[in-house]
Amino acid sequence: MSEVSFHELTNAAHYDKAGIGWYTAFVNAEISEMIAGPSPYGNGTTANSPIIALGEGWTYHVGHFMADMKYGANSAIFFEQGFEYRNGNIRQGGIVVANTGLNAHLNLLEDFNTDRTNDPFQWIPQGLFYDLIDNRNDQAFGRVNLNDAVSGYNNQQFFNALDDDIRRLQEYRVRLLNENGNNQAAGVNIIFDFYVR
Amino acid sequence: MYGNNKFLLIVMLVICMTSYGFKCNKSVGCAEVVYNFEMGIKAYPDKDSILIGDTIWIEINEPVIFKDLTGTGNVDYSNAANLGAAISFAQLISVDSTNDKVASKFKYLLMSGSSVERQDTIKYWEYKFSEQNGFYRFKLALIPREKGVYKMFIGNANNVYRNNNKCTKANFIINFINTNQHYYFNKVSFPGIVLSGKTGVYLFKVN
Repeated sequence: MSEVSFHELTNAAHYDKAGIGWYTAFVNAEISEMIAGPSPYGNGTTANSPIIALGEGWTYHVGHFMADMKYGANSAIFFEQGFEYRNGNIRQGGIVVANTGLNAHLNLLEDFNTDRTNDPFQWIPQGLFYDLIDNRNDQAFGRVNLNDAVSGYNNQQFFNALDDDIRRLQEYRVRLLNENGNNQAAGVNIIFDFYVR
Repeated sequence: MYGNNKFLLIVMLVICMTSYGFKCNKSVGCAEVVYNFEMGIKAYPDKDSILIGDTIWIEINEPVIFKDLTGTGNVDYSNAANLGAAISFAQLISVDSTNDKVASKFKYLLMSGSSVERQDTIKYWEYKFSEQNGFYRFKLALIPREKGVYKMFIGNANNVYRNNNKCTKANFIINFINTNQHYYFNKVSFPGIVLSGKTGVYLFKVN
């Protein structure tokens, strides 16, 4: 329940930051896709998809990131993309498929994979922001083929770049880099390429 | 203006709670995954180094009756509509240096199964497994065109459904079995990260 609360409060904070024009577009996009399906976000290929990917990717990130701050090693099990994210490992059908040492919420963010095309919402980049923060290269392990060589970004920097004219992930990438001296730009571009389909 | 803002905020909160409910409540719209299965994939011949133009065979031969990992016994999961996997590669160049847009450095000859069209073939190739005589089958010849050390990733198949029953979905773990996965090549780019256990990665060198 805490993760849901953080998620929804992050929507409200985004509204406060980006303003009513941005938020009206976001609301209209989600209403349209809820009707068109697959509910609630659509199939990721319509004109509504970019703003949903940006808005929801950010809120899922903060929801899990803050839930991890609150619960850490006592986090509950979370399910996403067919996997059970637990504290220390990832399971499928009760079988441990990876020992990561991460707690459940960060496990979920770090293991999020746009390659899992059977997940209808794999285009919402839940793991994007955490990959810009952490110093763990996904590609070194056995699950996600992403060369994540970027670390050290933080949530304040992410939030600062959520401006009213930013409605696509690639626009967001440019603003984030511009506001942060093109910090690790080559690596940032690789990570965005992985998430923006 | 304030009233308009407040109205939008309320609308958005309702949408968010509703949409979040949809995503969490896996029973809505036949989204529930009922079974979890494990499927083995083989790579051969058992050599860690091959030459340009040699062939690495990737093969699946699995009976359609699977043991459910969650303990409900054996399940006949024939007639799957979307059982398959995405394959991608990373070229391990040197410490902390890799390139994952190397799918074109291989020639692909599909002997069993079918291709799934994707736009990002610079990185991914995706296949569906075929069903023949009570088995799921997949056989792919990989023929490298350039030298290098490569790490191949086989994706899991999740949210698989059957043509005759879309509401009993299954997740498949796809791991290499009876295959030397040559994990030691991981140190080329990631010294200190020791791979172990069953995974869907296979490493090899092309001379």
